[in-house]
Amino acid sequence: MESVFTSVLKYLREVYLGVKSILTSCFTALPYLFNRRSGDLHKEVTEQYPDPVSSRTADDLPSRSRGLLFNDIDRCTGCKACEEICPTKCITVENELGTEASKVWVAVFDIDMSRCMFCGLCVEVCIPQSLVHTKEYEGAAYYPRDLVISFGRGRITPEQRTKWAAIRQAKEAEETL
Amino acid sequence: MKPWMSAWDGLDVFPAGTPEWAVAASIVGFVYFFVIMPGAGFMAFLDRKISADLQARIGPNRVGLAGLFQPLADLLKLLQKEKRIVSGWREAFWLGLHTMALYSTVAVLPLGSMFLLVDTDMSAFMLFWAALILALGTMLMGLNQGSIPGWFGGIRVASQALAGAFPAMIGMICVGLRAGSFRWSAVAAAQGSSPLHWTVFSDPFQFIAFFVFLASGMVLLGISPLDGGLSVPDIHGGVSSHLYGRRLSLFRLGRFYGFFLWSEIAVVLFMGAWNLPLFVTDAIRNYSTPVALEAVELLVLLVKTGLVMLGVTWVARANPRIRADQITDMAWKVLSPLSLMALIGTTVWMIWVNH
Amino acid sequence: MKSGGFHLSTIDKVLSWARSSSLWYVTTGGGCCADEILAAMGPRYDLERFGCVQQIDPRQADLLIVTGLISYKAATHLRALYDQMPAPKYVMCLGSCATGGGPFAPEFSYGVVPGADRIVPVDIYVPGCPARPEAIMNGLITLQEKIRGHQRSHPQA
Repeated sequence: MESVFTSVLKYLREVYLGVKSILTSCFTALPYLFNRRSGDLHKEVTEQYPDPVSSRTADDLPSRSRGLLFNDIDRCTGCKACEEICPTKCITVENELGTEASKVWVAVFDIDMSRCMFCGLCVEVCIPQSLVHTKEYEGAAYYPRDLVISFGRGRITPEQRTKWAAIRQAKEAEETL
Repeated sequence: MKPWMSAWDGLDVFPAGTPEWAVAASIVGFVYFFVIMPGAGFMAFLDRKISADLQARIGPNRVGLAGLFQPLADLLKLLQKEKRIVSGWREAFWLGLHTMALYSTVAVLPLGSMFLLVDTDMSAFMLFWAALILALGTMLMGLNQGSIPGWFGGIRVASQALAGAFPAMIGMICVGLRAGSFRWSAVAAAQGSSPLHWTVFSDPFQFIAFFVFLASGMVLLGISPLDGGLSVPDIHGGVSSHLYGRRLSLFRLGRFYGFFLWSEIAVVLFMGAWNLPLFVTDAIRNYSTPVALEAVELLVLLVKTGLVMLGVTWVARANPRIRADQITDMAWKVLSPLSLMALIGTTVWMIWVNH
Repeated sequence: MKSGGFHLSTIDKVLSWARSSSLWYVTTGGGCCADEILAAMGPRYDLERFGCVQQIDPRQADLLIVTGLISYKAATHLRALYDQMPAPKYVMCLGSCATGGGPFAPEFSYGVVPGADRIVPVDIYVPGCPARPEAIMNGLITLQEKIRGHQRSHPQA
């Protein structure tokens, strides 16, 4: 049984401790308000993205960061390895026979970024190393169809197809001679 | 001129023969649209910027100059929101109470030596009751939601208002003891322009009374960080959880007004009101119009009020929100005994030290 | 504006400026994009610079950010969330799961909705898995431009 005097002292002590803890947190937060440059802790850390001040651009990202995909269609062989391995089936490749027998005409090379999961498997299996992850990340679109990135050379018409077949046969004939 | 309007005689802005109601209405409208609403916007902006700064962020900075128009954009957006009719009698009551509290207390607000429309022996208590009415309206608003957050919020607001009213009243009485009246002019006349002559520094017990008064007002009105009735993490915004659009903007304005009201009472009662140094007052009287003097006094008062509000915001942003039961605990078990101690101490000080 | 648009009066411009610059958002909070939203809210990327504040209640929100995959069971709740928001409201579809099912697309999983646009009208799609905070902000700016009435053509379209 403690005396009244002790309990009053205890009560006042608790009030004092409460006020002290509130003031402590207030004065801990105060240096942030004045943005003191004494240490990294008290600085504003915000990267103001669209503004050039204190924002990192895509080039500042780590070298192995995986952004939107890019395919160098001149080096692409249309081997469909990426299409095979893609876990989300977001790559569509359609090939046509080109003017040369050794090089296919990659008519359609569509990457549906709305389903891509940026796993990087397609880049790993790409033998000619034409498919790469850029560091680009700005791809917001108003319609899902805008999220499909097309790298293909375009579909060919039936006339072109017969014409190219003729060229190809002529070349083959030259080689066999 | 009615006797209660005699304080306005010095302001020669109204032509002779203007009816009293027109004078009163135009003054209330002026204060409402040119003092309170821009003040609400500016303080909301400062609040967001300061809380952003304390968190090492930047805060709104893309709307207007350094984000200054952010509250305006918020208001305009809220006004455009679709209206869905879900009204009950409690909400109508809340709307009525808020409108009453917003407009009627503007007439009683002390805004300068000549800006005292109603200067009676009970002036200080009228604003105190306005704060209680705001709390009552907020409680009814919460109960009107018909949802669990709303009910919990309403009950918390009611319990906080009950807990905070008693110490706030006692703190106010401490000032009345010193000034000898609750008349705004008497309270202001009992203090000087220098901080040494403010009530808050006149004796140690008034110092305690000031902080008790401020804190219990925050409890009464549910101002952050003592806003258990509106806490977001546990009851999803409580009273304001289902408000949107125009009603949300009115609710936010009402809450700001409560905060402003209380800070201003605290400034007038404890922090030297609108008092300017005597030579400044004389100089303005001699070389300019009473309107200029009134404007300077209003400015001084508003700056002091703003500083008090910023101080409270600072405490609120640097400390976590306090749990609802701890708030009422604090109000009953700490603020109430301290206020009584301050009252007794002030009385004893006035008898033994001052005389 | 391009053809098919209409001239906005000054008042409309001001009102749409207000709508675009105070997009209070509510998130569905699923998947790893939700973590990126938390990162974007925080001090490092500070979404509040755009006037965006997170709201607890959909009634106070203007922007619904759909993150993570949507199962058929969750679809009704997503629709309820959208229906609770009062009228000038926008939906942002964040990441592959919400936009097209991602790795959980209907070809692989029977319980997944192939895209949030089957349930709610979507205004802006942000690719990424998960989208970087910068990408979220880019989507936000693109949405603001849409609200203000000058749509820009997609850089890749």
